[in-house]
Amino acid sequence: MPKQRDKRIDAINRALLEIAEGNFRHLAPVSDNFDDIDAIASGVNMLSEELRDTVISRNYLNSILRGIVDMLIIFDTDLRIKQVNQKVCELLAQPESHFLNQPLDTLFDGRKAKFIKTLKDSLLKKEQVYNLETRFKTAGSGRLPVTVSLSTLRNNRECIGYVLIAKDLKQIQLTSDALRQKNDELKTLVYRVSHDLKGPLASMQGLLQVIEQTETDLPTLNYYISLIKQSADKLHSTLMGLLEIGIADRTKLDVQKFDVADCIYDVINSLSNYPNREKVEITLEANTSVRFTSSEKLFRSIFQNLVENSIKYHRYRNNTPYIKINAKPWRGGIDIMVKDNGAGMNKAVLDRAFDMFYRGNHTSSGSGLGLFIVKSNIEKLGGELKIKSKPNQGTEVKLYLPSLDKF
Amino acid sequence: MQLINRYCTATLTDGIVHVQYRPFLHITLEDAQFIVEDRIRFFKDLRFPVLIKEAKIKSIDKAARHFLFDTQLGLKNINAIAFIESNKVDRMILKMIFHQYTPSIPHNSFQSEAKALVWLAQHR
Repeated sequence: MPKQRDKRIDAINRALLEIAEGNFRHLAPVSDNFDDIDAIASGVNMLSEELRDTVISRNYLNSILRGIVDMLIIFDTDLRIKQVNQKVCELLAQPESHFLNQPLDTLFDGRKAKFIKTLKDSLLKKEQVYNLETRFKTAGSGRLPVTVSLSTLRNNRECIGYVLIAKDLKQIQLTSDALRQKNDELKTLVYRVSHDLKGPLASMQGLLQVIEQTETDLPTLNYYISLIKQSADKLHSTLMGLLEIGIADRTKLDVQKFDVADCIYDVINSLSNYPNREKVEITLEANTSVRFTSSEKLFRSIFQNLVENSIKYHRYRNNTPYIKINAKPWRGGIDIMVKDNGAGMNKAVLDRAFDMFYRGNHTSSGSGLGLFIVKSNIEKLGGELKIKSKPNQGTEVKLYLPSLDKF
Repeated sequence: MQLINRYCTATLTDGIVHVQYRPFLHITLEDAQFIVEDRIRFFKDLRFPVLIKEAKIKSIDKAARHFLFDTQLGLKNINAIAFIESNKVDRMILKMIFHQYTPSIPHNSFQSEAKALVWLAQHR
C-alpha cells in the first residue's frame, strides 16, 4: 500500500508555484514536527522573502539608474563592464552593447594606459577614488572631458564589483567659457562706451567753445556745424547700436509666423535713403510662399545690419556693386545667404569681425557693433552663422535659423 | 538575575545569559523589538555573551531578522552569541542568518550545550 503523501509537501509545492508567479506573500506552513519537511518549508519561506526584496531592490535600483543625470557604470571584480545607464550611451554616442562585458579600457583611448593603471592601483588600496579628471572616448574618435569617482560594491564584507560615476565636464567648461566671454564683452562694452561716447561729445564741446569764443564768418560757421553734425551722428550711431543690444538682451523672445520674402523686401526698402544705397544693386531670390516662425524683430535686425554693412563697404571702384540675397526653407528652418562683391576682409579682420566695437576699417564711421548684433541675434534665435570674405572680392554670409514653432 | 516575558526566559549565570524561547513562535519585527527592549530594560548596560537554547521557533520574518542581528539594535550589549541547533528547522534558520546577516560579533552554532558554554566563556 503506497505511503500516504504528506499534505505538507503539497502545501510547499503550492507555495513554490505562487512564488514563481511573483506572489511572495504566500507561505508554506511549518508544523510542530520540526522535521525535514518543516525545514524545507521554513527555507522556502525565508528564500521567498529574500527574493521579494531582491525584486523590489532591483526595480528600485533601476528607477534610480534612470534618474541619475551623470554617467553610471558598474563593473565586476575583474573590471569588466556589467551595466551602464542611459547617460553613458547618450554622451559617448555608443549603444549599450558596445560596453557590456568589455574591460574598463573600453572607455578610454590607447593613450590612457597609465591613468587606467593608476586607477586600478588606487582601487586596490582604497575603497573609493574621488574626482579624477580624465577623458572618455566617444564615437568617431572624439573625447569627452569628465571627472570620475569610483567606489567598491560590497555584499556583506566581500567585494563584488565597482561603481563609477562620471560627470560631463564639457558642459561645465562651455558654460564657464561662455561666462568668461560675456564678462570680457562687458568689460569691453564699459570701456568702449565711455570712449566712443566721450570722443564725439568732446569734439562737439570743443567746436561749440570755438564758435562761442571766436568771431566766425558764415562759411566757417557752416563748416563747424557740419563737424558738430558728424560727431552727433557718430554719437547717435553708437547709442542706437547699444540700444539694439540692450533691447535684444532684455526682451523675451516674441515669436510669430511671418513671410520671409516680405520681411526682407521691407528691410531693403527701409534702407532706400541709406548713404550710397543707389550705387548698389540688391536682388533677392526667395520663395514667396516661405512662411517662417521666429522673432520678426530680431530677424529684421539681422538683415538690416548685414545689408547696411554690404552697402557701406561696397567697392568704390567697382562699376557694378551688388548684394545677392537668397532664402530657402531647409531642415525645418530657413537657410539664407547674403553675398556682396564689396571691399571684403582679410583674415585678421575677419577673425575679429564679430567682436563688440571692432572696426576693421579705421576710417569707417560705423560703431563697430553691427556684426556683433548680427551674431548675438542669431545665437538668441538658436541659429548658425558662417562667413567667408576676401579683400577686394567681397563677403558671403550664410546663416541658418531654425523654426521656433514649439514656442 | 532572570527575565521572563511572553517570548522567552533569560537567565544570567556565570556571566553568560541563557535564553530559552517559548516553542512554536512566529517572530515578527514587533516581537523582535519587544524582546530587545525588554532585555535592555532589565539588564541595563550590562554586557555579556548569550546562549540561545533549543528554540523550536517556527519562523523569524525578514524584518525581524534584520533587527535582531543588527549590531546597534538587536545585538546591543551582546559580546558573542551561540545557538544550540536542535532540529532541522533551527539549522535552516541559522544558515540563513549566518550567511545573509553575518553578525558582526563572534557567533557560532553547536549541537551540544557544554561545547557552546566553553566557547562562550572566552567572550565573558
